[in-house]
Amino acid sequence: MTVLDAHTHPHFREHQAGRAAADVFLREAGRYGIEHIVALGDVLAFGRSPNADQLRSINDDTLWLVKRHPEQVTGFCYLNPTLGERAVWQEVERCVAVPGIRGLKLEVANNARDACMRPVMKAAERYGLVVLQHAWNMTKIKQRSFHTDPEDAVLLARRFPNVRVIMAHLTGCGVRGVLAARGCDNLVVDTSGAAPEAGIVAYAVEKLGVHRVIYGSDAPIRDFAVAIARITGAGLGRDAERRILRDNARELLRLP
Amino acid sequence: MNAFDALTWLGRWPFAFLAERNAADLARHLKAHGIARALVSPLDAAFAPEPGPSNRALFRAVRGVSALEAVPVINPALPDWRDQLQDCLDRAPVRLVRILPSYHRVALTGPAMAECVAMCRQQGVKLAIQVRLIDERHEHHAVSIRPPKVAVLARFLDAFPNEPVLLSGLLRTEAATLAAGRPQVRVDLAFVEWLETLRTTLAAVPARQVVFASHTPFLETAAAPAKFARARITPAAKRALLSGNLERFLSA
Repeated sequence: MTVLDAHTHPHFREHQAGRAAADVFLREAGRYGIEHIVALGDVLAFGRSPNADQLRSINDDTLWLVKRHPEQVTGFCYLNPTLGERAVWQEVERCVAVPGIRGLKLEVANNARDACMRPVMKAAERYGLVVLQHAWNMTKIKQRSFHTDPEDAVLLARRFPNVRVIMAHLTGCGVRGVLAARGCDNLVVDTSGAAPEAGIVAYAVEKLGVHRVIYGSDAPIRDFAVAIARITGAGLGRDAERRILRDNARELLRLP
Repeated sequence: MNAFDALTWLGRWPFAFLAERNAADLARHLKAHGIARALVSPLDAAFAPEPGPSNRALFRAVRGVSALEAVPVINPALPDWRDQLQDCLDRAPVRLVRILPSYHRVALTGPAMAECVAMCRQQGVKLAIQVRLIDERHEHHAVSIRPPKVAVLARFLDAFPNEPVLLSGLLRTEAATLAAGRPQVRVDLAFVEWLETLRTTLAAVPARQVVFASHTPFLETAAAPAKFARARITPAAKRALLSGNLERFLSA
């Protein structure tokens, strides 16, 4: 079965491997039948709130990869909404000029409830971009002032019903996150995040429907093999696996 | 695949929708994922007032299920821990006992642990330290449980440099830190993950110190053998990690 991975970070500076590591990353993805990836950038390379230059550096890596492998890579433009409306629009317009940039990536610079998200969502609406919002259950983490809880991601999606939102990290969002996402039809959840905790993928499918769950690995932080096994080990059946591993993301990203 | 699994559980867990299986069902489930044998511990012992009843239930459950080997839980923070251990040894052959320091507030560098290590050595029993059962970010909101700090684990290991210890539930960087320069330590792979998990791990940890673990039912069982299916390591290393290392550790 071919696979589309909606959550990867092919440029990861931990080992100073540079852009060459991205080609290795794509080959590794290919060994698992992953024909297309969404590249989100090395979003924590400069800490949780990068400045405009740092942001451009991260996005330059993504743009380079999208241009180099247009058939294999969709890029998401990484944003720091706290830099302000003008900076957001400038970076979005710079990135969407490159074919293959199909989304915006939000990490932990701010909470998705914050007012600074408005220009981000307006830009997504104007250019038809998907927004991938990092999310994690904040019950134990206690960082909600800048770190998005699943309920915050859902609120964001409800405020902007014309924008397609990916709530990242199903495992981190947990049961409470899945329940928050019910009835929010412009939001899907990706299957990345933490160790492959048993039962959460099947639970999400039961509560949200198979069309609202998409495969994401978070590689290289995670192993493609493990990330795929979360789906294939969940006992969902081949049709549901194909939906989650490929079809849902393909439709969401409007890929051919 | 014929794996020997260093970490599985039988029993109930109140904070997640985990599969509840009896011993025969667990053995069948593991076999379907290429796991021929497994060490199994009693999950109820994590929150029980003392682990004795859970251990006894475990021994009863695995009797006649040859694929499962009981690994009882001992709580050295309780005054009767010597009796707990002796009771287990009187009931069945035991090669390994598991300590849950976070859940039982066991001081790893305290006198009770030192005595426990000595008693295990006398009895020919190995120790497993369960560093985490679940991702601490996902613990129930009403409880506050964090894994022992790496520095504390290191002090414990360095206090007993000749005692073989299995560290279960370590993250990738923790495994690399704690295994380095400590040949008596074994680390399991349950929570260890990165792109190409095995190649990455073996670049940081000697192969003889790494053992296969699924952490069923907490984690998706299929994920553990998936780390091996297309791993680019030698067949000999694969065999060692899947079963040989754990067997040698237990038999030494």
